[in-house]
Amino acid sequence: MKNYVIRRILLMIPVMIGISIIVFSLIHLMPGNPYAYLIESDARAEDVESMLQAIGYYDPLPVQYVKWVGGLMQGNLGYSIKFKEPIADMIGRRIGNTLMLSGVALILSILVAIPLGVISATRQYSIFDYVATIIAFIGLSIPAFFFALLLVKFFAIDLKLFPISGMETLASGFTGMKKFVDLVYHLALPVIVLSFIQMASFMRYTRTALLEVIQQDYIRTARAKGVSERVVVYKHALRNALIPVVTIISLSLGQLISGAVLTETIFVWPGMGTLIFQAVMNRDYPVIMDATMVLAFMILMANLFADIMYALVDPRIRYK
Amino acid sequence: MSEILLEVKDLTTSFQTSEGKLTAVQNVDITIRKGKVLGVVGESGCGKSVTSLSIMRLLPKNQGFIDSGKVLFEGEDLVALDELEMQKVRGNDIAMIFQEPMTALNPVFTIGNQIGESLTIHKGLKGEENRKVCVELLKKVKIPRAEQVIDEYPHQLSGGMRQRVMIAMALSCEPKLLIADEPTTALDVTIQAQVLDLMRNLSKESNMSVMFITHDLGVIAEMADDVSVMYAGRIVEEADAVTLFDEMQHPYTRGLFSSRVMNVKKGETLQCIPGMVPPLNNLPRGCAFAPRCKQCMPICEEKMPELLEVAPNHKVRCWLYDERRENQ
Repeated sequence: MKNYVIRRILLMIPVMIGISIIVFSLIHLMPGNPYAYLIESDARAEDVESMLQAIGYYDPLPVQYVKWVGGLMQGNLGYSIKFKEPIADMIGRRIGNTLMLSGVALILSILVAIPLGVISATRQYSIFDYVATIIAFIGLSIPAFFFALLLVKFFAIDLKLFPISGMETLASGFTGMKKFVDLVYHLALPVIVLSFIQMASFMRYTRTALLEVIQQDYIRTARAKGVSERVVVYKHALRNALIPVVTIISLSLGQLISGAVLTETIFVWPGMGTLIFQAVMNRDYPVIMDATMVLAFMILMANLFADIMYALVDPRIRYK
Repeated sequence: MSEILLEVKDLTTSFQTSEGKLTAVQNVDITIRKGKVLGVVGESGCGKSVTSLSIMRLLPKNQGFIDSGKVLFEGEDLVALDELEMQKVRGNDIAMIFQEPMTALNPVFTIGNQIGESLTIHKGLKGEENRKVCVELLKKVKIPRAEQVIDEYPHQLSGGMRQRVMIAMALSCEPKLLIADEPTTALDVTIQAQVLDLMRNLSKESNMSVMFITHDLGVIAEMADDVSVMYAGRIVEEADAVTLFDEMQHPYTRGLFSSRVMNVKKGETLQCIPGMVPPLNNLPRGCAFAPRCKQCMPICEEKMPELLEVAPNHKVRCWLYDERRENQ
């Protein structure tokens, strides 16, 4: 098990290098000068030229790449072109918000989807199963941004149950419990958007996996031992059915984090998503590159976590 | 004749399929004596396994149904029990082992966990005590390194070892009847012999009855006290093992016997029964074996013969031995 985890962590190094090269190349393939914004219209051409020279704009690309990666390794993420602020600070303020949003969405979707999937499978072709299936297909086919806008229209504008956007009521001065409740209110709609889609797929996978496992010989063995039907389903069958479900959850972690970019933008949630969105709008290259790297790192960590989970639920992997 | 442990009376089991209702087992009577081994022989699809699953009431839900008949276990009709009462019988009074040891164990639980489960359910054994009994059981089925194997997972064991684990699991609550559904078919020959030896000794030791299902007459000759031969969902011949092997009557039994590899002498070709088992949804009107039978008579294609006693404790379902055929 220890070797397995160490191997997984070592594997992350070449993947990170690959990602950094791709991110760097893509950004530098974009035409135009990101500093164009900063140049006053009446600045002299020689001054502009010498300034660009000084900040390394004319360095060969490999040199720029090494400078950038070298900085990243030392924890120096550089400065935002637009805000002149250390990028590390900008990301530091927002990363927690993104983790909160996608973490809550993930936990909620697992907690809802797996029990629903089990009930759907054990009562295959019942009314419950049909209703759950229909809702799941709606979840799978509705675009996130459209669903988000629908929720805003009904719950925020018409019913006024939840706030339209943001993370807290501005200038409210809430503290303690009140602040927490306020946060939950702001979380509700983006979390519903993010988790609904995941829920639908997790539920369908749980149902399918369980229906398949229930047919297995070892389930008959368990029944032949005199195990009650409840224990057969929740112990013998579910533990096996969870193996493919864990795979699906791990694959969806990346989707969840990148899906958060869009959802955050719609709900003006101050996370990594809005940061990247603004950076792209402002051609703030260093911010785009650094934030993308951080997102990539988060996704890799999520995959590592999934691999560990995978080994925990399946002894056949643990002992390889 | 020793005391009777289990009596299947007039059992008919059918399956609901997309092609309609298929009767897999028809009017089957089976008697298992205390401490004896009943061998049930027949080709694939003849209803052997369905009979055993009917006894255990483990037919696939919403697909297999017991239409009629009784399964009297020590006088109590198992068919009439509700699911909760049946759970107390399964694994406790009647245990079962299956054909495929590779898939019959749950891959995500340790051996100890899976054997210990029946001990917890039926005997209330927990913790250290449970573990101790598990180790003893593993030793009893001659598993080396029992103390380590108990913490291992099924994928770490070979097929023969897994079948031993299955046997240990089945024996854990000292059942009165062990149903073994082709327990050695998936094992190679040397392991087969070891597992058979083990089962025979264990059954003698604890005076446990065994219902041994197989298509291998050689295994039957080695194991069984009584034999029932099944064909297309019906019993076609039954007798004690000695009688059956000395005086087999039914053309099907004789066909099975002469198709064994060891009966072939050098230079001869292997005997076999021509044709296939008829599909259940298209059984012939008369005797189901008639289309493949060398001694088929006109009446065989008209009417199903009855299971008649041709000698004490020897019954055959064949018109050859039924005097009424002249009157029909």
